[in-house]
Amino acid sequence: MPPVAATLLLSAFSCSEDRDIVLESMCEEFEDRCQKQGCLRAVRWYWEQALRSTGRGLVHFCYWGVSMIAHYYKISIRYMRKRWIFSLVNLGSLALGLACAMAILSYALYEMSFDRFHEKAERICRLENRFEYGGAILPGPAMPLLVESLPEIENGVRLYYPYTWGRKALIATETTGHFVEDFFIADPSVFDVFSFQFIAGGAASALQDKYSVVITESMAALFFGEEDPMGRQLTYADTLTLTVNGVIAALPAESHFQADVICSMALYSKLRPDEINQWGNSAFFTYLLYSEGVKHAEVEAKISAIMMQHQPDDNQFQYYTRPLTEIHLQSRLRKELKPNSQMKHLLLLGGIAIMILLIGGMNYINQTTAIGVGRCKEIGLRKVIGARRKQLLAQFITESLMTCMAGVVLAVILLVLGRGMLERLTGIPFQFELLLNGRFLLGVLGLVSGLMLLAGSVPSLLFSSYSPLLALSGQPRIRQVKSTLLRKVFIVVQFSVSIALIIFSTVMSRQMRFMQHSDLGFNAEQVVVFHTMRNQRAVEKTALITQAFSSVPGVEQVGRSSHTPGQRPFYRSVHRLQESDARRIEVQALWCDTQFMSTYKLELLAGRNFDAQVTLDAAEGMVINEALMKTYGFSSAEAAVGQRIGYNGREVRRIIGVVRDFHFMSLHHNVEPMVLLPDVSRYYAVSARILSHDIPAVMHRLKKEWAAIVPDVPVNYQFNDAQYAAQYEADQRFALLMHTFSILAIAISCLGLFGLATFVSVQRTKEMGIRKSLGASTAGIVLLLTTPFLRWILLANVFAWPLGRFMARQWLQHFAFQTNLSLWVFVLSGAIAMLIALTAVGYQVMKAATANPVQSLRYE
Amino acid sequence: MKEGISKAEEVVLLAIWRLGERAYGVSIRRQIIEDAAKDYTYGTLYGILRQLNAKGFVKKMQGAPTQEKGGRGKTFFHLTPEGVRALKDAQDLHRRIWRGIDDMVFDR
Repeated sequence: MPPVAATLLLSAFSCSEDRDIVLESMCEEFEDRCQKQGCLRAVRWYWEQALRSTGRGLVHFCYWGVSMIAHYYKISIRYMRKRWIFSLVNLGSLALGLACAMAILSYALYEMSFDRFHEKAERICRLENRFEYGGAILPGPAMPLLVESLPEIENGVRLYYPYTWGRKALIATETTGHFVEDFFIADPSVFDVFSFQFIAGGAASALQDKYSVVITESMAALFFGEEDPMGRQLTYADTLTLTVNGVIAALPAESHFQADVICSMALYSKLRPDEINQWGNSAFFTYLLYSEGVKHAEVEAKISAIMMQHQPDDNQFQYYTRPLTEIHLQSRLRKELKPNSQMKHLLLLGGIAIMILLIGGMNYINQTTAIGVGRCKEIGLRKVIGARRKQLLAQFITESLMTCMAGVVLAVILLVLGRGMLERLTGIPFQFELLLNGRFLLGVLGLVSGLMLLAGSVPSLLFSSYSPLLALSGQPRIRQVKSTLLRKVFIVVQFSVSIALIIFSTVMSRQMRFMQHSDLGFNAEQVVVFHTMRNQRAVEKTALITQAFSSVPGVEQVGRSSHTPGQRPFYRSVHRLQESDARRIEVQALWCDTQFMSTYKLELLAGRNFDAQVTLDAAEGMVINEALMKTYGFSSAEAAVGQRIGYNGREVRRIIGVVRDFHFMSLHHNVEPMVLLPDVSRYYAVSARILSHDIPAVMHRLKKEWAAIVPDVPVNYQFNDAQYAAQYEADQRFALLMHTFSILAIAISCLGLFGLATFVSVQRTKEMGIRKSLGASTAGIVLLLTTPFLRWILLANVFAWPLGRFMARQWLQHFAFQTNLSLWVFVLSGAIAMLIALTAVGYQVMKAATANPVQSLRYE
Repeated sequence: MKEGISKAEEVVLLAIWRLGERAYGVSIRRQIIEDAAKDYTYGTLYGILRQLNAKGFVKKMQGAPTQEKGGRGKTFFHLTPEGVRALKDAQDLHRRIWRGIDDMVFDR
């Protein structure tokens, strides 16, 4: 009859002794009042009584709670001081693990937050096609057509982004000229679809005029210094004069594209009048803005249908849309605006973070259980005095909470101090502010609290079950069995993880070295490339430049081409001339002069190189590579020579030679079919092979020659090996990250092992003393003490090898050319781990082995 | 040394004395409300009773089990001789220190 909630309240906060009788009496009086005054009044009275008791009960509880916690705090500080090595090991491993996890998490958050700053981000998606090699570059007419025909699409924008992979646009004022990389041409709707912050000018007016341009603040400062850039003029590519019509803030780092200079699409129409409306010319990144409430999937089919209608019949493109926010992590198309990340990487890193955190946590549990054995007297005493299990639990949880708090604080300090170094090392901006995001923080706090509770309760559960009698009489060994098992399991797990990580990083190193030392099919040592950056003036003069370079002593050979190793290639298509198989094959197109092949020492398998004397070569000649030969189905290189194939849709060319496959791109990619053609207007790079040892002198001459011929084009050169290696930058960084983590993981594991060794050797002091006095040799003792550890680590290998192999395989899949996973890698990793572990254990073991038995047996 | 009783204990003891045989939780509380207009919660009351029991002024007696109570029977509290003496001492003390002070003295 009495209200249940109030009853619960009462029972929660009243003294346990009287609880029953209080509830009884309350019940009786309640019924009494119900009869005499009516239930309503009775209920009110009941509640009033309950609340009054609660107030006092709460105070009571708090008071005692606080004083107990103050006591536990004092005790744990005392223990930390007494066993400061243990505490340090504990704290260290926790802090390291936490710092790792937090760093990785903030990186993951950063990567996942790409492109979300756009106001309409949820409604934007990019149109892509599933062409054989994947492309996000589409024909010009696509966007306007789609916007017009489908009411679900509110707006769209095309981006033409010609300067990627090292090429830059030449922009100049009367006084200064600079090469700009992030140069765009876009429809004026770009400001409607994407969110740009305007500092001067506005979205409405910015790109209206054909010759208007919008630049970022930093560009404005670069070209105009302190002066107002609005209305000023910039020259683009030496030919066009553009007027600055707006100044924007730079896009944040978390964007899949960057824009420094944006020109109007009308400019494109002027530069290439026919191409913008041609369905055959794919040049634009196309983004669509959906109307409110439209679901991506619904419209995709309609879009695809419309696109298919307009494609020439012999194409098998398949169109689909990708939401803007997914681009950075999930798009692995070839022609991306800026290199993208990968979800898999993040998952891998996340997994490693968790593993490292676990290792740290395991250390903590091991440590506390180890110490616990020494505390059993204390626990026995407490039990005798009357401590209840709950109170013991509270005590140990308080201790673990304190350690974890200290660990978190230490981790944060580590991160703050090491942030600069981390950023330099990995090239990733570490924005810990992201970590402060409310939702995330809550999740993390929840996780960490959960972990702390877990870590604290494990030892306390063990300890609280000690029988006081046994504990006080000093015979804790009986209880040890359970904790030793746990300890062993933990060590094995820790080392499995560490060894797996070592295996993984070793494989990565091997892959890196493999890629750098593979036969690439060309030789570019001591080749320096001068880039024209597609500057018209420079391109026109390449012949002169080549001649001038050739005359420089120390230069062996000079060749011109459209691009060089490490640069992004061009693509065209070829098709068979027979009617039956008129399918187009997409190929890489490399335009080069007659000297190019010998400059890079490319090997001809059959036929011949281009010959300046043969006039037809320019119009008709084409050299193909092995890959194209095989794709096309020629039986041999000789058979291919002389054949005619269709090129670029309209032309017909004759194969004059077949060259051995060469990798101008990194070994991530398989060798693609390729054609080499002569075309004077497309020689954007001049490569010079230097023979002499005095490279600076030769370079000096070359630079002078360049300046003499094209004085107003800045010299822009790169040594080919650096250019090529730049492709592996991301992988190098990742490898570095992996190495760091393996080191961390093994460091933490060894910390734990060290703590354990200390404990074990202390425990077995008496035993060792007896053995020594009976005549055991030092070597014998060492062997005895280290064998258990070694066995655990050997066991760890059993788990580590499959795990490491799995991780390595996953990563190697990125590469078309993989190194092999030979056995010795695994053996080596295991051996390294063993060695490191031995050093961790060694000190304590030596101490125990060389101890004086008199000392160790003295203390009773 | 003879132990004294606090004011609250005094109030409770007096109530028990007035109730005689019928002093148990609910009735004691009712009596105190009637006499002293003090609304003690059961928690407080039983706490005081526990103290009195520990000091030996009151004796806990288990009553005969009845149907309603779920078979346990009420717990009665009876005054012990020490309890009676303690009351007398309190009374004496009160008389001595309040001697000669008129009723209305604190009303002005």
